Amino acid sequence: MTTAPVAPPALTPDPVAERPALVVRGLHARYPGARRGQEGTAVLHGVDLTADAGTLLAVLGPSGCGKTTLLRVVAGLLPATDGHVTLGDRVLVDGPDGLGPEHRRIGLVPQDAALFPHRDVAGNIAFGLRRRGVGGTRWDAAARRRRVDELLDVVGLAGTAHRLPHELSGGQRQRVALARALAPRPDLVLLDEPFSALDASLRTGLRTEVREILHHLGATAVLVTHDQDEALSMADRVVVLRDGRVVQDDAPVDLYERPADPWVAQFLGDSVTLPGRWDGRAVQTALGPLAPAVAPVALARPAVRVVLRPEQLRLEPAGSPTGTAAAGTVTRREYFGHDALFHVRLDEGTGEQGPGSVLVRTLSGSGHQVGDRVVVGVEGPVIVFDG
Amino acid sequence: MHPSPVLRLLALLSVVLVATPVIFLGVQLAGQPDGAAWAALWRPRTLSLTLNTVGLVAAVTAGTLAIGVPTAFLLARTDLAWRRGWQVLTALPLAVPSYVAGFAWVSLTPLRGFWGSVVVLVLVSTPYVTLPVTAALRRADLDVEAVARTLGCGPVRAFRTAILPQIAPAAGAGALLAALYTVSDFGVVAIMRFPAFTWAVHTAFSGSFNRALALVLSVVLVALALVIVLAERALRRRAAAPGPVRVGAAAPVRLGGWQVPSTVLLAGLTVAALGVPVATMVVRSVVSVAEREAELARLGEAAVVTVLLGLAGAALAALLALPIGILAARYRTRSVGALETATYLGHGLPGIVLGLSMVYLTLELVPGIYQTPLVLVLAYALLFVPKAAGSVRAAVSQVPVSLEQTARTLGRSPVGAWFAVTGRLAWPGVAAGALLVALTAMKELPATLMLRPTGTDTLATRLWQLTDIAAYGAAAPYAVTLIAVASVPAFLLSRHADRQADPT
Repeated sequence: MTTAPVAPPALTPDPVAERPALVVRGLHARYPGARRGQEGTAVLHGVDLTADAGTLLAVLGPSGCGKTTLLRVVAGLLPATDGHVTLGDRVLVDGPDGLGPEHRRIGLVPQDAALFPHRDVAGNIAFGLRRRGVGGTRWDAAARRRRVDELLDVVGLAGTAHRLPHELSGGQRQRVALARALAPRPDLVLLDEPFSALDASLRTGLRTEVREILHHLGATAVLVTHDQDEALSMADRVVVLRDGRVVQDDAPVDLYERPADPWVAQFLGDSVTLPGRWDGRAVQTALGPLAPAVAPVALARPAVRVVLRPEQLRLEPAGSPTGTAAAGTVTRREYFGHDALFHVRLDEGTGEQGPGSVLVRTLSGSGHQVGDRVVVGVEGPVIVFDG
Repeated sequence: MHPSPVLRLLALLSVVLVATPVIFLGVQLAGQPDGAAWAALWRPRTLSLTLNTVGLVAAVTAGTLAIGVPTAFLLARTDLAWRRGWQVLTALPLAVPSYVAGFAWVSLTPLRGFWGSVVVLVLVSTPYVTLPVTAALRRADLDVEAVARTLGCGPVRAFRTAILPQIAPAAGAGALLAALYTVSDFGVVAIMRFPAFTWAVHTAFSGSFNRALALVLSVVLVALALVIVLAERALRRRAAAPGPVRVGAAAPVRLGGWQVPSTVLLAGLTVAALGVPVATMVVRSVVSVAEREAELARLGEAAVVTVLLGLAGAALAALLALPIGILAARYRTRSVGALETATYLGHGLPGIVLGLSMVYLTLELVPGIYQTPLVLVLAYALLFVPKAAGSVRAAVSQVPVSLEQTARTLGRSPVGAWFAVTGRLAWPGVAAGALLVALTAMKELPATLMLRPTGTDTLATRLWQLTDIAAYGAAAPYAVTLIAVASVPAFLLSRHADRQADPT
């Protein structure tokens, strides 16, 4: 499917005077036992986060970190055990008490779209537009039809109003699910890994498009994902969740460039971790002396760990004159087309990927062969953690 | 989320209602004069009845496995000619009431006693094995077999090591269903004059009016049935979760020279299980109508009564089953598990025991409704709530929870979301389950015999009376009508299944 042109007039922001922010404070929750009779396991241990009005917040974490539980608690599909959730001036969760999901004015786009199979596209989108609709909005038949048409335009599906869900492609289903969630003008939209079931080629296009739609409507949204690319490219702010706790809450750029700990650094993308020694001016490593991005004032000991991104490293033919550089041998090449990842075993020193092995990303994959002697250089400041 | 207290209360009420007859039996047994129950239990007769029933169950179970598994293999994995046709024909014996088949064999052959009961029960209950094993073979992971072949196994060894373990739970569970059918069956053993438990309970109740004996025998019978139900449940849990049906994933086994013998074998089975009862009954009916032996007015009346009672019982069963089925499909808490297990155990309640209990229960508590249609409808409902709950559960759990949750986020209350989405999508499955219950209720014999309103016949009871006095000619039209009436829901169900299988 190609990316449908988005009709400009349909993209006027929804006329809601003040968009509320989502504030989550000290949220605890346990997931009900998977088998009958089992005690639920505590999944969230005091989560704090804020999604500012009109922005997209991504909750990023590996599977099992509690991100889906978080989303279900915010939606009202799972009770919290403790903590507060407010949306604007409305309290959604107060300890174990919470508003029913039907009273929260929160739209949900589930992972599998979950379209109602017995209703056509228009019927799905109109599902939340009832005479006594969410938040007191009244939808008569004409208003409902106008709203459905408007949203079909917004998601680029005009003309499919009377198709049934099984007649749609995966991407179309997700668009309908988004339109259905947006239709009643919710205060917040929750997206639960909405692109994970789609082909890689379709995913990138739809991501951009969904971002545009949400942005133009001025919607506040929370996206839950385990995909770093998705979180970094779509979100205004990213919360990294690990074992039910927030480990970092930052803008995408800061997150990638200044991860809070080595785990976050590695989770966000390919990385090279090297041991080093801080001598007060530079970090001495197998790749030579490196400048830290942030002066490690608080370092307790001189032994440190340095985290580098493969794209920070560069390869030169052996014997090239370089400043900070170390000699090594290419042991493996992973070719991706748009770039390539070289595994280089250094002649000296140790890294955590193996005995003295580092990863180097280059834009051209053709420069070197396995077995070539090379020199590895470093560009830009590096991230330093306590050893 | 926790199930709503209202739903839990409704489910609890249903379960209590279903359990009442059994509890009542226990209370009655405890209330017998000192020693009466023990005396009844420790008679040599009780032991011989137990051995008879256990022997019958073992022989029937072995027989259904011996026939059902190869049949399933022929249907699922070979290039057998006219497989679709055979698939229907091998399932159809389920629609033949066991006592009709028994009556046909008795009226044609000198087959009686133990072996007579074994032959007829194997013929009518083999589909319990054939159907699940065929399904299991269809969705078995054939890649495992392919890998086994590449690792040097011959076709037979690859099948044994890779496929057999995948279908064993289905075969075991199916065989245990056949065993349960055998334990509870009253019609065949009574026709074959084989002293099994059910027949003895009936005799103790209707012949000697020995209440202590009837109660003791009932309780032992329930215990036997419970053992089978629990074993079946344990096996079913191990059976593979229904995965996608693989179509044409593996090349079918070429039968070659075995094509003709296989076809002859299946044809022989079909003649024995379907041909004999249907042909016998049709021929006898034609003769009896020609000789004005048939009681046509009474037959029509009995047919109407049978259908009405069956439908009423099924509707009530489905209603009682709704809360239990919804809870079982949606929630996995300990209390829901307990309710579901209690309901499931109801599968093991033989009709004759329920009938007996309802007789004593109504006489004791509300003699006013004894022998009214109300008691019979209630009995059908209680007997078949477990079946109905199973289909409610299956239908509801096919509707993804995410649909209901999405409906909630779009402003529907819990009840509103259920009606707009889950109930709307699940009702065909629930209705199909109710139809299946109606079909089973129309064929029910022992409880109907005990509870039917005076002067009212159902097809089953009138058929029974006529065969009891060897009026085979007059009985045949009842059998034909019974099969015809019971085939209507079967027909509707097969259409429903077709639509479900339709890959749209």
